[in-house]
Amino acid sequence: MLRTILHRAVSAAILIVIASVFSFMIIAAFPGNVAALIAEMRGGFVSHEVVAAVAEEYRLNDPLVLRYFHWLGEVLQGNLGSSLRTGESVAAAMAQRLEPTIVLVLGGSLVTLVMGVSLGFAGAMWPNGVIDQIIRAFAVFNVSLPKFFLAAMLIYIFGVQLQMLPTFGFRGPLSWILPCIAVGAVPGALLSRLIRVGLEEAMSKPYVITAKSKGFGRRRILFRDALPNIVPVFLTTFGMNIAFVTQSSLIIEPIFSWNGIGAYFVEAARFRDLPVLQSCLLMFSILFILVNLMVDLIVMMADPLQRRAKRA
Amino acid sequence: MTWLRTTFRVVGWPTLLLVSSFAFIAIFGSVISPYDPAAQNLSHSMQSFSAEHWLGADNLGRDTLSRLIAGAQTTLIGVVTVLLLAGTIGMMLGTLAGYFGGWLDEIVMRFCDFGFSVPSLFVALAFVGVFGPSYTNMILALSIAWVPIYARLTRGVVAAAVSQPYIESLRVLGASPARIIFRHLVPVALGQVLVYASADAGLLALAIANLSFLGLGVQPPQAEWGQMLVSAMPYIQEAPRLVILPGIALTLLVIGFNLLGERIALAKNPRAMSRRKLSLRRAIFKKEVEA
Repeated sequence: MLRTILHRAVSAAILIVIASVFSFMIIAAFPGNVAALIAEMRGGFVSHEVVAAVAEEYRLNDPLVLRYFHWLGEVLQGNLGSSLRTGESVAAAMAQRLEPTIVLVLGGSLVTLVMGVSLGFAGAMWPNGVIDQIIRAFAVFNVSLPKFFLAAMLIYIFGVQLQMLPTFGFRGPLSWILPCIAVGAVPGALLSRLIRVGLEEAMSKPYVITAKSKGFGRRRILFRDALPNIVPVFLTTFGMNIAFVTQSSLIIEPIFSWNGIGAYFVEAARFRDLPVLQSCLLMFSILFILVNLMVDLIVMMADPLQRRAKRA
Repeated sequence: MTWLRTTFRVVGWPTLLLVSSFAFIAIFGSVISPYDPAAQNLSHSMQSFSAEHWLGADNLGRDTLSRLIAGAQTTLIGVVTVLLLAGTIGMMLGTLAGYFGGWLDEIVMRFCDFGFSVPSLFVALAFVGVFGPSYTNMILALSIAWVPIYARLTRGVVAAAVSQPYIESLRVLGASPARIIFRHLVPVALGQVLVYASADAGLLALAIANLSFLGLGVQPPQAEWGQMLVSAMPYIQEAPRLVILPGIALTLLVIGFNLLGERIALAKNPRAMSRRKLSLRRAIFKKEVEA
């Protein structure tokens, strides 16, 4: 068990190193003269001297390996450089923009959880009933639904037509509702389907027949006997869902004019703000690698079969 | 014509109709399109459904129907190109990794792990951010983001095949690695890759729309659904159709691709099929044998 955990942790560490190399490459692989670009973005007269000064400042003339380690040292000290566009510190800007993204990820996950679990169980409770049929149709449709289209429709229905909810900006809990639904609805449909299928599969096992013959009701069997079977699937899906929801923040934050990290990343890509791009990629990569690691470990601990296999 | 009938039965007519009509629109788009999709006519600006413009016109007076058709072209060409690029590169890397093993395998798989742990949109966004937003760069970015999936898939198939007796015998017979790879391993992997690609097409169509929606993919005046939708957002109050129509077009295409992928995966892997579908397929198979 401990060896497996250690093995996973080392793999994750290697992945983080790969992520840092890729992030570093964003400036190193830039086509054309980076120094000239930076000088241009700073404004003012761009002369050879200015470009040379910028190259000196960013250590662009050093060998790549040296630059990488220098950059890595700065990052480890919490210095992510400064934005080319605004000149502000990237780390400070990210900290400032953290709140909306956290709200979106947590809120979206909550929507996913509530929707997935309630619909999934309702479907399994009354198989082939009306709810089950609706879920099935809804799941196929929902997986194919573009997030930004869903968001646009939510804005149109609740913002424009009904004028019930705010659709612009990060202003209090009321303005959180629509973005969180836009982020959580698609994975929620997926989760409900997985729970439904997992429960159905478990309900056809022999021990369920035994429980039935003992005279237990469907609800008891569902929760006591079938439920533990879907825990690993559920945890893996939910872990993947965090990645999915975070990815959605890239699209949903700009639509609702939230100043989150997702919107920051998109802005950086639009304006070729290389230090911001680099830092965002690095931070998101590390986040995903750690989330994956955690999910793997939790699933391993939750799944009796895996636990036993590793011990043997 | 047996294969045609089999395709028809495996995939089912609603899915086939949906996907092939999009393909038809994309191929013959320039012929059936009533207007030039980029032609502006400001006197028709924001026109609603009419005999002149069946699906109305946008803020610049461009015909919505023509732009939707052009969007189908943009999306489908993008999807096919990315699948070809990512599939080819991924298969190359995966075959090499699976066949030769060792440090090459280790390196390729580590990069795949990275590609798997970081969602494709982030990788694509970073690439476009560095090289600048354009249709070509978007396609390259998505191809890079999609390579790990195909590399991992191919590597699994190839690694399993390499230890089979028939590959060993080929080696004993003196077949060169190139011959084994291209004549025996690639064809095995190709089937799997094609099945996977059919399931992947929907996700790719969404990715293209996502990037274009963010202004990092297709650039105006070229028409693309995600980009049409985002440029119509300011007019959602007066002309919601400009937002809804491209959204519906994209959703329909993705539904079509998803159903197609699901059906093909089921046909390839009957164990995952329901009993009803299995009996149906047995009946079809019997009929074909008798015919």
